[in-house]
Formats: sequence, structure tokens, C-alpha cells
Amino acid sequence: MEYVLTTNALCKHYKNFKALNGLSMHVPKGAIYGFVGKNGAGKTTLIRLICGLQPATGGEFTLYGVKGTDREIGKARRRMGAVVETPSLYLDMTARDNLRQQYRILELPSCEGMEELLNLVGLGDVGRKKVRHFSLGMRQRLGIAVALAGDPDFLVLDEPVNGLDPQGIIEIRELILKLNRERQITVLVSSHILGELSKIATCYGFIDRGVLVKEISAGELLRECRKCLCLEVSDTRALARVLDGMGMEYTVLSDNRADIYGEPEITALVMALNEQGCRMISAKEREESLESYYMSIVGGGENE
Amino acid sequence: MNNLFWANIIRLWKSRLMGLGIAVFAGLALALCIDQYTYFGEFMILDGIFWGYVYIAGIPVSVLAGLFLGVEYGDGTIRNKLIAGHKRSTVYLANFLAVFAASLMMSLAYIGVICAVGIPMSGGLTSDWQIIVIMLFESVLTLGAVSAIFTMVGMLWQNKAVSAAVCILLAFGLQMLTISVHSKLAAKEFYEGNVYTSDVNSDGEIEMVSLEGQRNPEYVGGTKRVVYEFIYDFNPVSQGLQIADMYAEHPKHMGLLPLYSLIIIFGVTGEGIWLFGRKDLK
Repeated sequence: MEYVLTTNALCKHYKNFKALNGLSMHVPKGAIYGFVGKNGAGKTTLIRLICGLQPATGGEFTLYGVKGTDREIGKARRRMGAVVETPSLYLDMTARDNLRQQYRILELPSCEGMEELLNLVGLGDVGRKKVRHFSLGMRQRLGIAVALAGDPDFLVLDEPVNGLDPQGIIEIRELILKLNRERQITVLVSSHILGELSKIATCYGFIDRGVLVKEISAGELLRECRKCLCLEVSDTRALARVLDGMGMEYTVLSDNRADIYGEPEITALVMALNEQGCRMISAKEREESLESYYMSIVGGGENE
Repeated sequence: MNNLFWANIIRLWKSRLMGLGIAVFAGLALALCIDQYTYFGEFMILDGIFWGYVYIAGIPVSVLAGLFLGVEYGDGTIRNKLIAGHKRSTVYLANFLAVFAASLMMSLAYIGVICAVGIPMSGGLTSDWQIIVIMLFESVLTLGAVSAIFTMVGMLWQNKAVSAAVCILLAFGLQMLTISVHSKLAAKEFYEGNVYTSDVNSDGEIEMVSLEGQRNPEYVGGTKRVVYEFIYDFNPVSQGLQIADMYAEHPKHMGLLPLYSLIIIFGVTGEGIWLFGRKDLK
């Protein structure tokens, strides 16, 4: 698999505080990578490091195959855009002036595409209004437009829906999906709002106390979190035969435990097992939410 | 770096702060012309006020640098430059050049008004044109030194309010240092002796009383004087005062002041780039 960003044992220490403590992650090309963690887990610190705002204390990262310590990292960064924490905008300028500034900073020969970009983020009709008078949602969208000015392949968004109203959240979500689907932009979105991330992310990285505790694709996560019936039986081989006969999806966990996905008719299942000489010892229904999955991974703040 | 510099210049040009700075310099130049003409009439000497911009530049440049550079941190826009792949040294240098250019633009507004209003009133500068060219060169370097100092302060403090406050306090500090050292160095070594007539004495006579010159206890001499003179020549605000008072015409200053300004420009900017390069930005 081709990766846009990889980190290997990345560390960032502030005196005695370890903001990142050997973090290793892999952002696949074309993905919407949901970077999940509590406040203070180290999400923004990682983003600051890859954006070149802070140097790493240890470990390394590569952006488009270029190491963070390499002289060519500046060129690799030209292929990315980022909104770190709050949108970086000149408040006493208009949306268009802000974009013009960014085009100059990026050393682009003209402001061609500026209007298209403003329309893309839904700010085509803001006129001469200064950014100071923009709502938080408008600033966030303009911040994304500024990040997109260089036509990047990789977009980093740090808590993009923080503080937004429901309408603003939907607009940002749809914008991210549009950028990913229509422009094939790889997106790294950090957030602690799991429900929102689950609507867009194609893979996840769960960070806790500066360590990436789990990296998982959206498909795998769905399987982990889907509703299932946890069965304890005397013989899972007999159970497998019965379930295969019933055409049900299942996962065998051990000699006497298995998870069944879907809702089988219990009486029929018990009778079929009986015919195979297998007893059902217990049956429990389980449905794990993204939140409870996350809590099980990070141990509710108790894992060291 | 060209693009970063021009992006800064365009932002400066659109900012109210720059407009205010230009208005202050132009207004001050106009006020000085009117004041001098009111006092001296057609005998006014334009040279006495022509170089005033160098001395007054410290405080306006400190305010401008503190607020202009503070916005980069306050609005977070410095991040855009680094994420765009620019080196920290390039970002720093572009900001220094923008502050320097701002100080030159404000100074040009001052000179422009002096020329437009003062020359018709007085008939022009009396100094030799070669001296004027050298003084212009000195004043540009002094403005560069002032800009370098306040750029470093503005680039190293991430809090806009703190950065502006430190810049202004530093400007006032350098101003106070200039005034203090100037008064120490201006003290004469001896009080002049004099002769005066006494009142009529009891015999009805008037006596001639003669007082010999006495040593001034406030006079700074020896090594201390050398140190004070060094501070006076090295401090860019003091350099501004010397240029404004035309002491800089002295051959000693013609070489020394530009040298000190260059040392400040390169030393402070080099140090600033080094520190900024190691800074954790938010």
C-alpha cells in the first residue's frame, strides 16, 4: 500500500512531559484518516510536527517518502495543506485578499482558480466582508480554502468541526467527502468527536498519551462494532457446521466461544445444535458503539 | 523570499497601522517646518530638522514591528508560510525586510513633507551634497539596525500583546538610555571661571571678584567616558540623535556609526534567525 505519511517511533517531549511517545502511524494514499484521541492525547502535537512548526525530539516521519529531517521536506510540504487548530487567516482582510496572500506565499504566478475555490467552500458570495465578521463556520471553510490554494494532494485538518453548529458540521463533512471523492485528496482529520468521524473516515488511528494504540480500517472497525450474538457452546466445530448450513456469518473465538452476526432464530439453532450433539451453554447479545470500542482500546484512561 | 517579502509589503500597504505611521511622520515634519519658520522666518536652517526622522523612528518602528509581526502569531498566518515549505530563515528575513521597508516608507513621508514645505520656506539644505549622501547612507543603516532589533523581539514572542509591549518598552528604554548618556557626555569638565563686581562694601567701594574655573563633579572621564561614548555610538537611537543633530558629519562618526549599525543588523538578525529556527511554534 502506498502511504502519504508514515511516522516511526516519533517523540516530542516538552521538558518532562511526553506529548508524543514513540508514535507510529500510516496514512494510506486516498484515505480519509480519522485521527482519534482525547484532548491532550497528542493529536495537535503530531500535526505541528509534520507541518514543520515544531521539531521532533526523537523518531522520524516521512511525507511522500521524504524524511522530515531531509532538506527536500519543504518541497514535500508544498504537496500538503493544513488547518492547525484555528484557521490561519488575516482577520482584517477579505476572503479574496486572504487567498491572494496565500497564492503569493505559495509563489504561484496568478490567482487563477480563486473563485472556483471560494465556490467550492461555499464562500463565493461573501463580497468585501472582512474575515473578522465571519462566523466560525465561514472561517473554518475559508481556512480550508487557504489550505487548498496550492492544489495539495494531502489535507490535514485539526478538529475541523470544533465549535460549529449542526449546519456547519454537515457543511464541513460534505466538503471533506467532496474533496476526497472528486479531487482524490488524502485527508487526515483529527477529532475527539467519534460519531462525526465515523461518517467520513475510511481508516482510523487511535492515539492515547502520545502513543498510537490502534490503527484500523473502517471495514474492520465496523466488524468490531457490529451487533452480534456471543455464544458459548460445547463444540464450536458443530456450531460452525450448523451456521454454515443456515448461511450465517460468524467468527469462532475459541473451542467453545463464537460470535454470530445477524439474528438467528434461537429455538431452531438450539435444535440444530442438539442434532449435532452440541449443547448451548449461554447466549448474550452484544453491540459495541464506536465510543465503547475506543474506551476499550484506551482503557478509559487507565492504561499505562 | 521575494514572494514572502511582497506578501508582507502588500499587507503593510493595506494596514491602517502603516497609514497611521506615515501620517505621524508627515505631520511631525509639517509641524517642525511651521515651528522653525515661525521662529526663524526666512533664516530658518532646514538641516536642523531634515534628519529628525532617524531619531524619532525608534518608537513608531517598535509599535509597527510589535503589532505587524504579532498578527502573524495572533492570526496564526505564520503557519501558512511554514506549511507552504518556506524555511524559517526565509520567513524571518522577509519579515525583517518588511519592517525595514516600513521604516523607510515612514521616513520618506517625513523627507517628502520637509522637501515640499521646508525647501520653499528656507531655500534648501546648506550642507554639501556629499555630506547629504553620506548622512542618508548612515540614516538608512541606523533604521536597519532599529528594524533588526524590533524584528527580533516581534519574532521571538508569540503573544501579540506581549510582543508589542516589549517592543515599546525596549524603544523607550533605548530612548532613556540615549538621554541619560547624552546628558552625562554633555557635562563639561570644568565650570568656566569668571570675574564679577561685588556689591558696594562697608567702605563704599566696589571690588572685582574673580572665580577660577572649577572641575565639574558630574563630568565623566577616563575609561568610564570611553564606555559611555561606545554606548552612545552603538545604541541605534543615540545614533539617530547624532544624525539628527548632525554630529554624524564628524569624520569619526562617518565610519563608526555605519559600522556599528551593520554589526547590529547582522548580529541581531543572525541571532534572531538562530533562535527562531529552534522555536516551538503553535
